Amino acid sequence: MPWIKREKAEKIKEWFPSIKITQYKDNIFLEIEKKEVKNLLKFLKESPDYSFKMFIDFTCVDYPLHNPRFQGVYILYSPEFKERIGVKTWATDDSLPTITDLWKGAKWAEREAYDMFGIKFEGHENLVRMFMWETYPYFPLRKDFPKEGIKDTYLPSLNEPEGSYPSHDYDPYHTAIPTLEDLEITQKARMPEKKAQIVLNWGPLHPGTHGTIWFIFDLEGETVKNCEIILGQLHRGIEKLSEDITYTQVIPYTDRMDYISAICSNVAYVNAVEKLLDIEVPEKAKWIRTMLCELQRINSHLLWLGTFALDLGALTIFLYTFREREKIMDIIEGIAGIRLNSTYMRIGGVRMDLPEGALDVINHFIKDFPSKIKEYEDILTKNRIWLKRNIGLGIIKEEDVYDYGITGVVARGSGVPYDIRMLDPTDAYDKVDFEIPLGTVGDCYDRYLVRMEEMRQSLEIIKQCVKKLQELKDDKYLATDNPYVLPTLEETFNSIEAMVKDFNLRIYGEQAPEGEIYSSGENPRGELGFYIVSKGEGKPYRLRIRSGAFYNLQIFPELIKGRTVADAVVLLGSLDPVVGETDR
Amino acid sequence: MAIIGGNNGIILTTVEEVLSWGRRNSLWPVSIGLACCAIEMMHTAASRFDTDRMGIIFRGSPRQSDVLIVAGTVVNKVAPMLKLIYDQMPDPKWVISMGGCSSGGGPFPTYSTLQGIDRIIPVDVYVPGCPPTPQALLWGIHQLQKKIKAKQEGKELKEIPVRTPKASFPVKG
Ligand code: SF4
Repeated sequence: MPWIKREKAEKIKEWFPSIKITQYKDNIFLEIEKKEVKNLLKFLKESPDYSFKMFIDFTCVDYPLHNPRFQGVYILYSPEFKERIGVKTWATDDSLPTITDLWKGAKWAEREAYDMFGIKFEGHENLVRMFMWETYPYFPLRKDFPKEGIKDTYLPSLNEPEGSYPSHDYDPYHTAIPTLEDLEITQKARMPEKKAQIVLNWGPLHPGTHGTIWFIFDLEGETVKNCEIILGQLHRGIEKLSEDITYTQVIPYTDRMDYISAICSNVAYVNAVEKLLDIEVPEKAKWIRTMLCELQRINSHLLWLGTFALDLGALTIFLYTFREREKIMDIIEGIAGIRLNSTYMRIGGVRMDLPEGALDVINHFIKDFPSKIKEYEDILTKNRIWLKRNIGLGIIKEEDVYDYGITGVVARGSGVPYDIRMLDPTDAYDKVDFEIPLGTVGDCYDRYLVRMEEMRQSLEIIKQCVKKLQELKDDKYLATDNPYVLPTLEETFNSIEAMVKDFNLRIYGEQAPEGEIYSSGENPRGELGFYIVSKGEGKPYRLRIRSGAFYNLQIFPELIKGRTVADAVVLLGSLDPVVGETDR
Repeated sequence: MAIIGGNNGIILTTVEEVLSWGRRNSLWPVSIGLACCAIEMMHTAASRFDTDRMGIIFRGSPRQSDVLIVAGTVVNKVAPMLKLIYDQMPDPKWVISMGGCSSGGGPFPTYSTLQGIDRIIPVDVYVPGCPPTPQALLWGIHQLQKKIKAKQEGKELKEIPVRTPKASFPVKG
């Protein structure tokens, strides 16, 4: 994504003379003091010369030795000029003004910052914890909090017989787990009083909630009057963990965030790091990445289709899509070695070369798959039940997209052409032809149509990639000449220099230059962005993950108001969140 | 079980044996998917591996099931809920821990993750992997069936012998 140009950013000084502009690569951040930040954001949003209407992300960084300690970072996007900008400010007195009145999408992001750093937001409507439970006493992302938490509860394994020596080396002391009362307090904090007849809890462990999302509905009869969502039932602390490991070691964690589209997440992450480290990726690796990303996109959309149809009562589709998914998983297993969380990408390329015959298998799949899409469409697209339950439900307008920072298929279903593959082409996306399907109304049915068409487009991309890869047979797949890139296994075993390099990189990490970068990729669930702050060490100082599903889910309570409970299942299915990514 | 007189259709058995036979051949798990492992659990239930042919039918309610397959990361916040679900299951009940996360925290040694579900509920079978393949989960289920059978026959499934240190020798410098 092109960022705002330096000259254009300098012009803002006419209105706000106190801003400082920092630049790393093409990323431009404006720094301003706290009392002016809201005016600046408002100006950026409303001025026709800039019109940064779309909210992308908000996060905080902790600098314990600095006073004030916390820095807030806003990232905005201008759909008109197709450019990004970052705004930074220091949180004096550990508090910041809320911007929920400018962008509704900031509500959860601010809650998260409160949960993780303990920063107060003046004027936030209900500042409660986002992921942890209400009575949790710590703020985990602060630098002085240990990553394994405070182990103060005696919680031994029940599998060990009483009084015996433990069969393995483990710590019987554990971090505190909440009681059911704590969870009740959490729920009460979210929905302080019921306004309608009855409060219904849906989830967190319910087959229809796609993981562990916890919904609270305030019901009048069957109609939802009010809705709240509690997240954090899969909050594993990936952001905290990654502050303690090298850049390469973060890659497996990106798999486990959005586990349905692991390769896309990998690619988004390695692209961000490569931008930070200035690594040029070999041609062949770029094409392999693009091909696998699109395969994974089909895979992910198939899972969505299967479970979505299953939620609506069509079990057949579930079995059909999983039949196809197995084929794709086999292809990925053949190439990467693992079915689901493949960790196939490396900084500077891919882990292994394509095995022999991989392209033939993919070719066969491309030939076979269109008939399968047709099969699904024959069953669903004009199915009367399908139409009745999907059409007109959950209409998202264009303003909502900008307001809530909605990305991915959900944005495109509402007719907003926001696709990182087109706006900021990484890898080989600038060399392939494809179309971006757009919806017209923005309801669940549109999102269904868009995803179906996207699968076709992905096939087109894969076709072009296979053709290109057949020409690039003997090229390099890993830029091992670069000092930051791990050598291949073969090189490590056969040359002493490569071995030393391997050792250094694995032990001390990639000594990235000081700087900060925000870069994103197009996940099947929306824009997956990585904001990396590097302090010149072998590990990231702060790694913020901007999750598409997190922001997309935020509009759910708005859309479900006035609809019935049965619609909640459909709406949730069509927004398609993955809890691993929303909670991280 | 003993069949008497070749083909004339009389089977002698005990009530215990019939119960055990029935239990191990119709294991109904609660379908509780928590994270990545749940996807592989779904694959085990879907078209290719098709657990239905083994009498394994995923149920939505803990009251109808006898196996709890914990597939995915259990974070501290979910731990009390998981315990609640386990308590709601009727006896006899078994627990399969699928994947590294539920077995011991997996790749997440963090402030928010439960380091092994055996701290809140007893586990019968551990299936290693991250995620375990569907084949591995099937192996786990077979292992559980063996365990149920062994229990009925009065033997426990052989366990890894635990060696305990005898006495400690204080070393004086
Ligand atoms: S064991 Fe691995 S695959 Fe399974 S839930 Fe944990 S991280 Fe995901």
